[in-house]
Amino acid sequence: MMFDLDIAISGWKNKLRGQDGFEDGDIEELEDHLRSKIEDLVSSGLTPEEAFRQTIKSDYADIANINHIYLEERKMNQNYFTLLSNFVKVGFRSIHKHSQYSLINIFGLAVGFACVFGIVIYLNQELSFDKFNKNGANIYRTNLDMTRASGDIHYPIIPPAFGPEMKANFPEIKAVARLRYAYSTIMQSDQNSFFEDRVFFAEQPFLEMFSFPLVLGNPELALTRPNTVVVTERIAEKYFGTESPLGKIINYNNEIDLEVTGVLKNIPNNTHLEFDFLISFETYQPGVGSLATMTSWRWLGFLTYVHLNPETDLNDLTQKATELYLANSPSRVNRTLNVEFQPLYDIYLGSGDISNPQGGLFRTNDPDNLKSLAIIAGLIIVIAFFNYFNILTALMFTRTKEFGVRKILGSSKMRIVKQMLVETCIVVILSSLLSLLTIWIFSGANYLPSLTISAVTWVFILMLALCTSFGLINGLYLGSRLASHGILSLLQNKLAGNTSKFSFKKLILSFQYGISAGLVMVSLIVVNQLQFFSQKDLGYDKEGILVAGFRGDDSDAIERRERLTNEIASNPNVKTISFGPSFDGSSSGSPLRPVEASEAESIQTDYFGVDYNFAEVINLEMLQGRFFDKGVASDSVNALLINETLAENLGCADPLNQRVIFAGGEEYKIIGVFKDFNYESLHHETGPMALQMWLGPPRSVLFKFNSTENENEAIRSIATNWEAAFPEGNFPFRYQMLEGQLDDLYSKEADFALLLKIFTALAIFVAILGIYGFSSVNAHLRIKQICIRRVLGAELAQISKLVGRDFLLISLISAVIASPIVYYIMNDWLSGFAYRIDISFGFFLIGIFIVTAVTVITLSIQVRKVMNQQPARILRSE
Amino acid sequence: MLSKEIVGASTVPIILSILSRGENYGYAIIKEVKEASGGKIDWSEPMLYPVLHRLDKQGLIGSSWKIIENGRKRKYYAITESGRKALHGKKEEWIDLITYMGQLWNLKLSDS
Repeated sequence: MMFDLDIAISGWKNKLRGQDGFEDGDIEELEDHLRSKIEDLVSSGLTPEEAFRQTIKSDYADIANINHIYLEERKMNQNYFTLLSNFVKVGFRSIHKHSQYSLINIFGLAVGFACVFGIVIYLNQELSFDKFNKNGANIYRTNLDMTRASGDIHYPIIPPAFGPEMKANFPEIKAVARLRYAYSTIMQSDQNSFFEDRVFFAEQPFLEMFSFPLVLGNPELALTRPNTVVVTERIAEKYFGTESPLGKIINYNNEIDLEVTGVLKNIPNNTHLEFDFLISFETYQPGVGSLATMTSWRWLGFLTYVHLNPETDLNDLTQKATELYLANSPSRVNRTLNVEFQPLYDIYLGSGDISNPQGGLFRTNDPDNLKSLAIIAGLIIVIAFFNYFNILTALMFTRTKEFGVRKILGSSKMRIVKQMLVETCIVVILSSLLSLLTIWIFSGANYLPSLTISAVTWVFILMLALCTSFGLINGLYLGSRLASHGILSLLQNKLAGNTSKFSFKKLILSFQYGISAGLVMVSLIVVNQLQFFSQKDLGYDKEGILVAGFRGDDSDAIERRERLTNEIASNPNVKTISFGPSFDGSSSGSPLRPVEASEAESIQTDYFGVDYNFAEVINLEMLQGRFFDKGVASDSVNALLINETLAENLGCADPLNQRVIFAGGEEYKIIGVFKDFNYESLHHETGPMALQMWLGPPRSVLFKFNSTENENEAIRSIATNWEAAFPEGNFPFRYQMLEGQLDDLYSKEADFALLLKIFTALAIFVAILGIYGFSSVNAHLRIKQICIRRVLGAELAQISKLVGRDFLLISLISAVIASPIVYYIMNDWLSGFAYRIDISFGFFLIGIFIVTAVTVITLSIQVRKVMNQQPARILRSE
Repeated sequence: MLSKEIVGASTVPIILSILSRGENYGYAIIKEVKEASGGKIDWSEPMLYPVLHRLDKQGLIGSSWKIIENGRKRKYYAITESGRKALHGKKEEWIDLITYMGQLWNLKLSDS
């Protein structure tokens, strides 16, 4: 065939066009150069063919090299942005090319990140408690730590005389603010009356000490006069609408008219002390008939915050305060006592062993919960990372050709690393944005705090950290993997032939399986423990009982009680009505001892004041003796019922008719022993407990329904009775079913369990995505092998075995390894509960089963996909 | 053959000097440099073009396509005003260097 220069040159040009280093005109310019040179050579006597061959041989043999020179030169000219945009372009191209795996990656990471961001936002809130107080670092709460024979008690409330005495004696104390909780009260303006739970009597320095700004009124004067109140904006609107609340009157408990002297900005969510009303401290009067006085050193009833000089020696002050307390408080044998100043910032997360009386005086959280969530967040990150890593590594085997070609083109190792970095960042950023969107959508929900600037900042810092760490690790790993292989082995796809029995890849995979299996087991155990709570026999009947607030220390309370009893008597839905304890987790306590025992042998005993109907309402089971009887006059004076635990602790052969000293030195006779019932949260073991007749003003009223079927109708009928009994409308009917109220005692656990369930479910989901993605890539790599086997007549079962054996084995082994670790951790967690389930073998079996089942299902989908393809077509394309 | 380093450092001043005498195209520049240097400067041929492109982007030279005989396209380069300034600066540097080297080695350099 005749040599045609034009054809030869256009062939050469086509080769150049296959490269990516040339811009418009570059190839034409080179063509002109080539032709000029050939013309020179021809004029010196060569044939065109010889001239062409010689030219091509010398400087143009290596097209890739020319391309590289052009590329390098361009890179030097390019600014950082165009360089980056090139990486991004290539990155998106590769994401698009492997869209299925990219989607798994982006989606999996997005779910993972959403969890992590959610947890970060939650943690950010939990760790921010009380930090908004400008003086916070120097504010302390005064606690009393008592150790006595019956056990340790850490009390956050102290006697009323203690605070002022400290202020008078210790110059390092700048200010003292005492607070008294008002329990639930009835608050009433001209038009409205409501039950309010967030009411405190507060001493004037409180507003200056803490950073709760007033919108209206003067913080220095607002709480100085008796019968004044400061309310939050929310309350001002609730009671007075748009009218200015200043100078308006709010009535307290149908007793005292309070003048509004200030309006507080709504208090932030992250405060351990929640309130809506602050009544001036001078308004406070100890209850009618109470022996307690404001100069008492025995009455543990007041939150007392102190503001210290920054240079105060805390140890010294603690010692001095302890001495001051002991000097004034009546001594009791066999008791050690310490005053403790608890830093404000520690209260929310550091009050686990401090009793929280009066039905939850302040908010706390268990730092262990935060730790658990942080651990889950970490686990999810690890799972998401390994997912990404696994899929990317597996994909690398399908992308070896691409990298091989790049290497020929002179891509440096750094360039490949950079490309991987950019690709990772694209994926991470896309999934972060997706997860932020999710978070934003869910941020209105209860269990997730609303987004704050600091939370968003944290999320962005985290995002940046994730981008760089994921990108660097993946980029460096892949870059070095690729660099360690020759171009030929890359082009021939030799990497995929790694079939060693034990590899890094498998180690990662088993780690992933282990975590997923562990999380499944953990969540099973947690859910079961919480289930156990709600189903445990509490020792009394909680169904069909309605609790309503019945407030009032005034003398009318007894009369109102009669009115309500008379109204209810004709209500067919109500079986019994009883006035007594509120079952909200609060109780009173006092030492109790047999008359013949010494004071040192006293047993700290909780007690409820109840009426004659109490036993019938809660279905109290008597073990010995009898319940209170209307017919026995002495029952209402000095009779006492005790529970099993107390009977055991007393150690008497026969507790019946035993005489004991109780409640401030009075002598009582034990007339019965009842079966233990849980009156506190199940975190605590039922303690020694007593029941006493109480016919004074009650705190609550319990209604026992005739049937549990028509609850709503029963509630409506009681509401009607209530209105008839109190037509003035100044005693609102606020009620809750006892069951719901008990659930509230475990609401922290329930919230936590919900979070845990959500995150665990998501973690498992992400893990499954990973298993799916990884096994897909793996199956894809083995298509040829599978096809050949199919052509040779292999059955589905054999092929499944081929693909699945490794995965199943790994998932099984890692799930088994995870079990003892889970056992160890969960046993520790459960030991925090007095009433707990035992960890049975079943939890682990179920966990192992779920993980292996998911693996089997995923793999069969993959195998089916491969089996449905035409083997001939695949083999040809290889 | 001159060493890579010296060739590298002198490429830009040489190109600018040649273009300061009038517009020219890649192949002719290579040929001229090779001949004038007695073959001592032998650029790897395709390497010139990226350098020209860079100078073009930097605004030291300008470029334009022309149709030559038999309809072929050829890209011509011409020095710009800022190119001349840059060349002036480079020239002073090289003269300083050469003068110093001459002193150092006691050479007589003809002032051409």
